[in-house]
Amino acid sequence: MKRIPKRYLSLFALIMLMATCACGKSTALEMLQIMGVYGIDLNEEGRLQAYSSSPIFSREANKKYNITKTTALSTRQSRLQLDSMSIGALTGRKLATVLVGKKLLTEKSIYPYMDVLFRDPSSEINASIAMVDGNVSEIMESEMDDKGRLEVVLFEEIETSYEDRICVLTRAYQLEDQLLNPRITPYVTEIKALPGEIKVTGTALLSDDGKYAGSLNNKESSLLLLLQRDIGRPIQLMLDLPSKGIVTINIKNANYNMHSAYGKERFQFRVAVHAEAELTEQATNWKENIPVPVLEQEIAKQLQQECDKLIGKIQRYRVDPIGFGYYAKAYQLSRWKEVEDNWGDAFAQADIEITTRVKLTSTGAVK
Amino acid sequence: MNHLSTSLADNLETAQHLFCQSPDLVIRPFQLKSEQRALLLYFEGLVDKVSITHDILRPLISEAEAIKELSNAPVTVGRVQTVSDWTQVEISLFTGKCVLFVDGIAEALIMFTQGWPQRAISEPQTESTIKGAHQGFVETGEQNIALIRRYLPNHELKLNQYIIGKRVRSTMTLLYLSDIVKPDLVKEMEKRLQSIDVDAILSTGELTDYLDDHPFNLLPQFQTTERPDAAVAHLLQGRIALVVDHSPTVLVGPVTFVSFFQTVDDYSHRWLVASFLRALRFVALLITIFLPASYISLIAFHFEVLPFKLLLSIGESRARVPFPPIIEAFLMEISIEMLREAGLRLPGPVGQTIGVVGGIVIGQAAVQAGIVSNIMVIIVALTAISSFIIPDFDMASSLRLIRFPFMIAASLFGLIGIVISMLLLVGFIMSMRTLGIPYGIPVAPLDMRDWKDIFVRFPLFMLKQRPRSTNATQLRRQGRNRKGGQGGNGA
Amino acid sequence: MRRPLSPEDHKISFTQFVFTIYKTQIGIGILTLPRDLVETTGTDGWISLLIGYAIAVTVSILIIAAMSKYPNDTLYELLPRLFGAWIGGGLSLLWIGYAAGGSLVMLLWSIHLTQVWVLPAISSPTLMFLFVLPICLYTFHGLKLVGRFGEFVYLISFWMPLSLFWGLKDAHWLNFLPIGHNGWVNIILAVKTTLLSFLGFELAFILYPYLTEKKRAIQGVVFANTLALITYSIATVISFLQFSEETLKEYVWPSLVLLKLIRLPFVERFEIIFVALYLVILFATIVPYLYMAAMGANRLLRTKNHRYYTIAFLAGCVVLSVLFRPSFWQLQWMGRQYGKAGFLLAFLFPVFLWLWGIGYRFIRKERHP
Repeated sequence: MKRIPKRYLSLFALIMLMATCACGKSTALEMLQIMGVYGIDLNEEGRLQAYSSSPIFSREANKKYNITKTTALSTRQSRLQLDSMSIGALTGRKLATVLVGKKLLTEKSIYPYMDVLFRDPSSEINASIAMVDGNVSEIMESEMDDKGRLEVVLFEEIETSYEDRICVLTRAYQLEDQLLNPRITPYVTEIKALPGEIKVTGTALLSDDGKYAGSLNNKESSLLLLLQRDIGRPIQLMLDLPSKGIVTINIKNANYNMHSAYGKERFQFRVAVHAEAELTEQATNWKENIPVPVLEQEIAKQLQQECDKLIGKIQRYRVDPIGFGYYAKAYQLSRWKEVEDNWGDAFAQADIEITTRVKLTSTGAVK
Repeated sequence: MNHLSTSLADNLETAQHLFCQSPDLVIRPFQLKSEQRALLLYFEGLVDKVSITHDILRPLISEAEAIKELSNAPVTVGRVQTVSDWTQVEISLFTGKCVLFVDGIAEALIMFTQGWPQRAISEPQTESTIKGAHQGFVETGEQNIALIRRYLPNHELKLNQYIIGKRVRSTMTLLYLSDIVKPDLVKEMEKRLQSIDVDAILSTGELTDYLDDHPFNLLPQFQTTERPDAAVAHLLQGRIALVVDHSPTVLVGPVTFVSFFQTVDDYSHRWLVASFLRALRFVALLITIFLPASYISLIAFHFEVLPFKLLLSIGESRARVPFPPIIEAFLMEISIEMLREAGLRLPGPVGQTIGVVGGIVIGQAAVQAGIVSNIMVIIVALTAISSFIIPDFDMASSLRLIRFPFMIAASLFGLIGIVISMLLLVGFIMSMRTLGIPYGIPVAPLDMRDWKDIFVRFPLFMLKQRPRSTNATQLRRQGRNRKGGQGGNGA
Repeated sequence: MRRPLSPEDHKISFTQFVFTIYKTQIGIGILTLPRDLVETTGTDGWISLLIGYAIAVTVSILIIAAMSKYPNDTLYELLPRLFGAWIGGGLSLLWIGYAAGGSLVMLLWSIHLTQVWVLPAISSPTLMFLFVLPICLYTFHGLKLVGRFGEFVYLISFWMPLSLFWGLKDAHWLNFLPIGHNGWVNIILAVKTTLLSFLGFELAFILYPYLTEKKRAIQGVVFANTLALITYSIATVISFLQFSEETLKEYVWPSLVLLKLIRLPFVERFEIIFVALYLVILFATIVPYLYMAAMGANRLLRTKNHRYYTIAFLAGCVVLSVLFRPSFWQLQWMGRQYGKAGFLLAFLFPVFLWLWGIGYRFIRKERHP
């Protein structure tokens, strides 16, 4: 009986000792600078600039968020400077959005600037990455007070735009995968600061080494999502038909048939898209009654033209955001190995044939 | 001294000597009809006076011939007994019996005329029920046994009686179904009861300290119940029940950790509803132990686990609070414990008022004063409600206590502290035994056959066997009702 | 110490046998396995995994076969019986060292894991002290508690491999094609990596004599290995689906990165909660190994209680954590050494023991017909 309390006592003493050692290491969350948005850009003189925005919790404060700005001394020192103001130094554990300036992306590869995000296990790799058409400062310094916190506005704007299918959404881990993976080239959301609001303008395509290659507008982004097989949510497209004028369709489901081959010293891809869509709007020629099969054919043809245009555009940019490289590697391994390091150029040479078939499932509540 | 004397005068003298300073002792000398002298002793408040006048004094004084043998005395009391030594006379007197001495006989007749003041049978306070019976145990052992017998009229129900306590000789009655219970269990319990050497046992709760396998462990190792139907349900599952005289609760064992989350009411609800309630209780268990600790660890160490918007609202409500989360939590937890205790000690309606006033004052005002955050109030309230869902009072109290070390661990080491504390708690549960039964059964050690009646309750006709966790020797509970386990009763 | 343990305290049931072995097999390996496989053989690693499984099952059946001739002997009684007191004692010592080393390496890894993923600010002696408490409790009470711990861990962690499915955001089935593009030689080479993931079945050496249903022992080891295979397959296949080979090579802890992708409405950064809970699984690897070592030391030195050795070992661990803070590469080196020892003792030794046992009995029969 006597021994037991003694034993517990010593254990208790030890725990108390550990407790005193461990104390004071935690900081309650309201004391922390929790970075929600991180932005990097080059300013006019080519110096690296970093911005961060973190929420202010105190109710007494007028401003809801706090913007900090750091400038590197010179471009040459920027890499060194980045260490001192990198994400790791602040708490990037709750990062929601990373903004990259267009100027930076045209001149440098994005990868080294993202490295800290990928390397630190405590950082948030679900942060969405967006390129700013213009200067990052335009976004960071815009007046958002009527809309709420900048952090929330930005990630909600990007996320809802993605759900409306007018842009892509690339999270940090996806960007890393796209950068390292030779079979697909990276792409990120593109946003632009307008007076008093932030607009998602579409998709910025990057080359495989992480530099800016070109942009897609909202409609092209929708088509890109269609070709990427990202049809978790319906894709809305506005098409100009010869018979009916401008109509809007909602692609709800699609089946893909992919065929790859190698011939004439280039890769050949044949993609057949069988889409199920519904008519949601016919704006101009609403009096004329066109039979559904004709309508389907016209929509399919129009869709195909749009897709061909998109393919032409990305081939011009020498990037492959759709991921044809996956097929090239899976089915044409020996040829793939020759071009593995330079898939963008090989892809630009490739023959791509897209055939579309559209099945209208409904024309809505109106006949 | 010890043996009764043949002379009535001697006996009277001994009695007066033994029970001096006991004004409530009635010593009634009288003469039988045959003019033989006799003496009746009883304690004023402990006996049924009507019975003494009508069934003892009247026949003896008006009818009795000379008595040679006491057992033939013409009294009309149901149960009598002859004894020949003073110790037994003393016990009998104190337990409300009356004692008859007759001149010339060295024996005394004990007549069972108990009639002390007692509480009427009423609804149990701590285990109220919706559909089950509304009778609760009272403070008289015999009555309680009678209540159990009413539910279980079976000759296999055996009663072993023990007298425990040197000064207060309480009668303990061990009840069990002899064809179901494993004999070792009864032997083990008997051994433990007989080794208790103590002045007095006044209530069942006191007894558990002497009977527990692990007295230093926080978790209860015997279940107590106020309800005869619950006691009988336990007996039918192969457990043993201990009725303690003077105490309105009955001790049941062996129990396991999960059996504290079962109630008799579960079986009177429809099975899906009952299963939902069971699941709810286990969720409540988790909330009671882990919620405040998780909150502390999230705020202090792992805020990134919270989604951004939730983080913002928690941050906003925390911004005014000047304390670290652990102090905030302790403030609130301790005040709610105080409220609970205050409500318990005060008479009914006042207690409720205290609850309401305290809740509003502490909750609302503390938030407005910026001492605690809104979220903390919600968490504390949720924790308190969860702990009240746990049906067994002892278990609920233990768990409420256990969450404090968890909170401390969480404030020092975050999630790691919680996990380590959980492992220690689970380790203790798994290594415990009650009356030779592993406390963690049927979860660890695993016995899937018992899982039909833990986290969910299967329909009763599918519970064909008694739980294995009691080591019952006879497992069959019912035959094949509802062929194939479903469908109708046959056309 | 309280009462010494009786043989009754050691009886374990079939489920305890299965889950203890299974939970010992699942350790730190699953967190890095996808990368280890990708480094040698790319996305064909799943084939190596299947081959590794077949070998592990065969060896575990051989263990049972070797043990079943002496159903009441643990490894530490069997070795002196078959090899004589001196050689047997030496071999026992080897096994004790292997088991103790295994639990030490795992302990150090779990501290490293916690510091990297959950609590970067905490010091390793503090963590070591915290970890030692439950390990001590579980090891103290003998095999029975080790078995119950296995069951408990299985019950609270069976959802863990399944939670990886939530991390599957965009599945690229084409990642698996073409099959065998890294060459069959590499697939065979990667088998060694997968074999090490199955380490833990050698626990049958000490569990078997205490198993109540000995007839089902073979079924038990097959069952445990299959459960381990399923768990590993889920982790590998999902990693391969989600990430490309090139990315996987970059990740030190690919399975945990997969968990980082999980976002539920009320919980994000799921990997933090997961790693904290994963400690339970790591302890389920440490505890049996530590018990194996302590029990062996107890038998070898003919003392009455394995608890002294447990305490000595754990106290040593705490002291070690104050003196020595291993870097990631040191840990990796230690893991590799442990893997080599495991390969020799858990894979090659049972085959040898089985053959030796047959020869031994044959010779004895010749001598005393």
